[in-house]
Amino acid sequence: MKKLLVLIFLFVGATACQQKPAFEASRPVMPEAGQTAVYYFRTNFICETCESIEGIVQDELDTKFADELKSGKLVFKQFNLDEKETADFALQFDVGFKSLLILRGDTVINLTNEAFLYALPNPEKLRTLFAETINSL
Amino acid sequence: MQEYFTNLLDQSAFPLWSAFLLGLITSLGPCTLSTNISAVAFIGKEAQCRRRVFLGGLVYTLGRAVTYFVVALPFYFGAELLNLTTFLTRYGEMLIGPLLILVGVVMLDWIPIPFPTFSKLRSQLEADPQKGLSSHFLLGVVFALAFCSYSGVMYFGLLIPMTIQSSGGLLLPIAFALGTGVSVVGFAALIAFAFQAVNRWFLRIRQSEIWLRRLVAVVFIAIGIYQVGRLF
Repeated sequence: MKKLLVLIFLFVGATACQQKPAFEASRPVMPEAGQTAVYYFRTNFICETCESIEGIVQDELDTKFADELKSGKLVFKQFNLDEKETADFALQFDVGFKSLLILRGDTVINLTNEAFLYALPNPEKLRTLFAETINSL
Repeated sequence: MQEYFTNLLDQSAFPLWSAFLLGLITSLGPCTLSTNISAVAFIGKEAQCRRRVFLGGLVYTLGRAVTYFVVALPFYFGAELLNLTTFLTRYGEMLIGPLLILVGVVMLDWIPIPFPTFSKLRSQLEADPQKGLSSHFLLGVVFALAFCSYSGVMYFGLLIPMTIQSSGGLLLPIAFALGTGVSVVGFAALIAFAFQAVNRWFLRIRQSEIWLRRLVAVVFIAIGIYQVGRLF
């Protein structure tokens, strides 16, 4: 009984120390005509690599694409795959788990593999690839 | 270190070598680190026998290889399994925390095994060193199934397409498994060597094996609680 109480205490302590900020998810919607969209599909549970990817993407958009964001030519949306509507929406892109997509018209570029591969060991490479991909559309 | 191996991967033209490097990179990822630490602790707890640590590491890696090979099979033969991929990647990381806590608690004998048959089997496994390695194999199988976001992308996003397109075929998941196991075997062997060096000075500590087991159990529980805590 005593050991069980110790475990429960440790568990509650661990969960209490891991308070996560609220995650504001967008409603699933396709980008408008002529608009470039950066879509980040994630879940409520986010890992270190996922956080790093989000940080890199947000930082690149804020520094190199601030004007496009302001004018609405470029949008960045985060979607919560834990919501059924979003999960169904993501299927059209063959997406079932955390993914980073860049869309313009009929073109969909999936940068998920590169994002996870480079986010922590080589973030500069990811930044360059991300910026080049957006500029190429 | 991860950057170094990532650069090697970028320059690699050989699929088997690429798969091995990918496994190595995956094992150094942040979310796979917790299961790797647990695996190192589990394998290294038999530090009094270096041969057994090395064999245990190999058997653990074999367990991983079996999982990666079996999971790759349907994809290799053309099945579209987005649902399986999604399930393994999204729920694997949720299950690893409770699993580690459970294993740790059982190792500490906080929860007795209620079935006489299992208790007898466990005694037999612990009595016979050769049979005892089956727990390492099972650990490898289960830990390989615990895909997190990072390892899920590495495996399903990078390795599986490579496996389908490459002439190396289903050898690639095996090479990937070897890559994931190298760091674990290496660190476990280091612990064994370090322990033996220290143990010469503490020859009177007859209970060291029991205390190692308890330490490993605590490591499992601590990492399990940390993993579960991250879910909330």
